[in-house]
Amino acid sequence: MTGFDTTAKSAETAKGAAARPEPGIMPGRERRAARTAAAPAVRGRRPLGLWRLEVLRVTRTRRWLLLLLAFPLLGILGPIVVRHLHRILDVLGADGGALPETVEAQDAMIAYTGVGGQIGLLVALGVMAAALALDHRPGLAAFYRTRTCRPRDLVIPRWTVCAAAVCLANLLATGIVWAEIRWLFGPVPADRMIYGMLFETVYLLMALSLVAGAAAFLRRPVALFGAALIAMVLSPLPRLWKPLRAWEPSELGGAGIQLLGESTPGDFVRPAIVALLLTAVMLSLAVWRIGRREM
Amino acid sequence: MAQFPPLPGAPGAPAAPETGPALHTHGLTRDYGRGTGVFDVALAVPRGSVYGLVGPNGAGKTTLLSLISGMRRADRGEVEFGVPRDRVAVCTDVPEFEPWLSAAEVVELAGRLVHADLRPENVKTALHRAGLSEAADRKAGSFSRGMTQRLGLAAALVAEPALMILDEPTSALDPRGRAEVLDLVAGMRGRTTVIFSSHILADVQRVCDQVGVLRAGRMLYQGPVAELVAEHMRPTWLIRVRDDGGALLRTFAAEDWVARVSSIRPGLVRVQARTVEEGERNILGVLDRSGARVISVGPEESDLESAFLSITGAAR
Repeated sequence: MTGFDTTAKSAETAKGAAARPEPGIMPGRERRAARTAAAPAVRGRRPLGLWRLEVLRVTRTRRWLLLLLAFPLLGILGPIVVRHLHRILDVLGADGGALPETVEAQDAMIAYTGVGGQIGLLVALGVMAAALALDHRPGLAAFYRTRTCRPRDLVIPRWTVCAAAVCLANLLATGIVWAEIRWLFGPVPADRMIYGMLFETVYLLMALSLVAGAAAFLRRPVALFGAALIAMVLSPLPRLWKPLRAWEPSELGGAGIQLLGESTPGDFVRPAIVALLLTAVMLSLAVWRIGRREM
Repeated sequence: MAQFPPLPGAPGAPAAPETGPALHTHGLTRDYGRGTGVFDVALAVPRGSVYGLVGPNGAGKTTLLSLISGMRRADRGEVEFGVPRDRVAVCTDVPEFEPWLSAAEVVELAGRLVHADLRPENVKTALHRAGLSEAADRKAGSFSRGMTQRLGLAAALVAEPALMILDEPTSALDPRGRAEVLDLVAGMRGRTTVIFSSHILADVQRVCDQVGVLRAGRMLYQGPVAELVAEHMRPTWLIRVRDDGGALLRTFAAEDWVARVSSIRPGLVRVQARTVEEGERNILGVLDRSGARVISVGPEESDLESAFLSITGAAR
């Protein structure tokens, strides 16, 4: 390690600084143009901004691996286990008397959504809680808060990139499940599967926005995870009141299963609207509260 | 003060003047109750100066810097920047970074968050100035506390700030690192305005030309370091003699212009005159009459620490 350079700036840097427009007096339009202009990358890489930082957060902290294990891996196992459940129980010497004689595509989807999807959801909530606990470490919070001028820059990239990773993992897993169902049980209606994937994605976005809502009031990752989990558990309560039953968004979590049965995509439109609205409200709340929060 | 002040150039944001203080606060108050917080602080940091902020533990230094940097909100009062708001860099006493980013990436990110058109040379220069050139590719998570503090300085330097707020920047550094940081800060004088908070008064005296003394959240003194030290210079001399100094002690004690005389250790006598003038006129005559074998005579160095202790009311 070398000592500090206490001399004046290098001539090259000084020249660069002089050539650059004076920050702070740049008109807004020129500032935006400068932000979007292709700046020379440091060491030949893409510039490191808030969005790329979040991509790196997912890749370098191995969170992608957690998502891959929680969603696609369980997606692979679900239909196979269901298809060969009797044989597996025989090998294990367990009694499978209570199980139905024949299993269908819907059972395979239940196996993924009911087990893999739930584990995946827990992992997703944890990953999002870790990303959104931006004031958990004061030094790190000071680093970001003293350098960003808009509260949404603190929240939106973190939430969006993490949510995208979770949704991609879930879509990949559902795609695998679909392929396996087709292979093990025969074809299922493609439009129903696609609608199911769409509604489940909306459900995941809503669940992840609950973490953002928790981050508006709490700082520690464990607290964010716990609060979001409690909110998820309590979210079906409005179903107890009949007029709200058709609008209750937790229904979306099982859309993939029900669409392989007698439900139609139209049954999930109203819950999807509520889920999307809730997502927007939770994100706005997080941006507003985190922007006003003191360290 | 808004948590996220509008960037200069944005609608409603006043253009920063190029003259006058780099930072001004008026009646800045944040009351945490039970006498803690800061109260009616009027800070004036001259442009291009290195301003030392000193005070005992709990005096409100970190609170004041947090109010200035927007990390906390004031109950009342204003903070006025004489430099563009996006050219204010903050380095906290315990900086933290994403442990999975390399040092170069941390510095690049710090720069790009402020200026999207950051040049690669700026990153290299900032790392070089902070003494981290050889650790540029190491992950921040593997850094020692001292290196992390250097990285915090590099992250603050990269955007070429007009005003740097450094909260205890040498607290985790070894003596050599401390000296290097102090040289770095001193080298900024005239180009960058620096607010430098430290418990180590010798550091402040070494690098700062202006000083603000806080106690219990109130500003007790603000002005040039040299003036503060001169104001609190005491008419005291240290005399080193070959023998144990007992006879000399009695000689000085008999003089009516001597306010106090004491033996610090055998052979070293401290003489305090009633006034500087009386001391300067009489001390050599007394020594001549005493017949003592004098090794050295000199005024006791007045320093920021003695001035600080004097105005904060603490005994030395």
